[in-house]
Amino acid sequence: MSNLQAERNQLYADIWAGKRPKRVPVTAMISLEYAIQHQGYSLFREYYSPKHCFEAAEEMAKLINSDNLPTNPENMAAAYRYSMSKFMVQGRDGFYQHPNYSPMKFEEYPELIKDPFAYWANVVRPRIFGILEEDERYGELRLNLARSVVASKYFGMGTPQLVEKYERANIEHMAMMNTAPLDYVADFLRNFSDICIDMRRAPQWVADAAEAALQFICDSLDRVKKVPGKINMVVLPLHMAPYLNPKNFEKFYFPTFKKLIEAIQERGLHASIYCEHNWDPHLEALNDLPGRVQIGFEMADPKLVVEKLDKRHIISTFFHTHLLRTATPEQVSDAVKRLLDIVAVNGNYVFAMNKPVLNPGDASIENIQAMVDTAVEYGVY
Amino acid sequence: MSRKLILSKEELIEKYNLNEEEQVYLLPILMDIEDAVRRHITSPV
Repeated sequence: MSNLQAERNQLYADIWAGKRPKRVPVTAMISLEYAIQHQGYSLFREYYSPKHCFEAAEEMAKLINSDNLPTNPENMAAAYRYSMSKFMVQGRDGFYQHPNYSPMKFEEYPELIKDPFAYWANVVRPRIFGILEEDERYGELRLNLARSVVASKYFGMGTPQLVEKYERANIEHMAMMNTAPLDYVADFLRNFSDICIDMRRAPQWVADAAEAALQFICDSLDRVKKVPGKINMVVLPLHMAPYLNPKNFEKFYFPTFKKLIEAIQERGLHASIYCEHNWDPHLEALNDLPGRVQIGFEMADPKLVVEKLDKRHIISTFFHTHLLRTATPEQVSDAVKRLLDIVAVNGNYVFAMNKPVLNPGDASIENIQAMVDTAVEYGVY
Repeated sequence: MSRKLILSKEELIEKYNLNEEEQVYLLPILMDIEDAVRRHITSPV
């Protein structure tokens, strides 16, 4: 490991240990789709070529001096396409997105609640992957082989190679990505529209479904293989809470979410959550989460977060990506300094944008560089 | 619904409605997956 990589790792190690690091760790989130298009490539063509994806991600690493690798070259789009996934569907612009799709029928709540694993495996999966419905005998084999064939294409030209070559931090390891239990029901089984109706029509079913989802996720946590020497993180993007009133947040969302955070920590893992939309009404609740949780915010007021949130937690994001679209590099630099003056006061802040850059129109490279370089220089404690 | 065991290049283009751009890099990966399925199914051990 190089000295620079060790220094970068130390920043994250300190902050997770509750110590003030030498400077604010700087994380950049540049999507592969941005990188591909920045190279002048197509999301319908080179996006499926591991060689071109690697080249595009490497270019981002050359240009952007963040502590993490700004762009990961891997994508599983060919596997989504082969398996005819209804969860990841390509849009007309070439992006793969999770649509507002509901594979679970309302009357199936009792089946989910009774045995979430069996329900997921026997009922939901065949509805998600068209290949399972189309080929009952070999569908699972096809799905498995599609994933392994695509993953094998990145052998020797993936994230690990770029991390080493460009001396980026690698102490954080994403052991699992999952969701809060109610989000699991809303995102993967029902959908945003349906679950809002379900909460009124069958509130107990929804509450019981969240408990069932909690058990299902905890069973998966039990099977996580921790990487020794790493900060093994469970990453949870949070969706439904900002759309719930305080009563429904307390009733349907927070109890199982808190239990999940406890379960993560009991297993020696670290929770990294991302609060989508505006969590200002729920900031107090985040103080009820045990231990140290890394909390990213999409739209929360940074002053309010610093004032209200317990300092044992790690706070992250806040820098508004939209500034990268319209501002000059000088204006970006000034905005970074203003933000750091607010949030980098307790030694518990990881700099990052509030959402990833997706398209070349979202940000110029010059603005991304101004953002990262300023955060690195001005973020020294 | 039943699926032919192994799809040819032309059948993959038609089934997945691949445009000309997608036939450059995506199609060979889909063909590799079909080959992997064939290898698995025909393996005697």
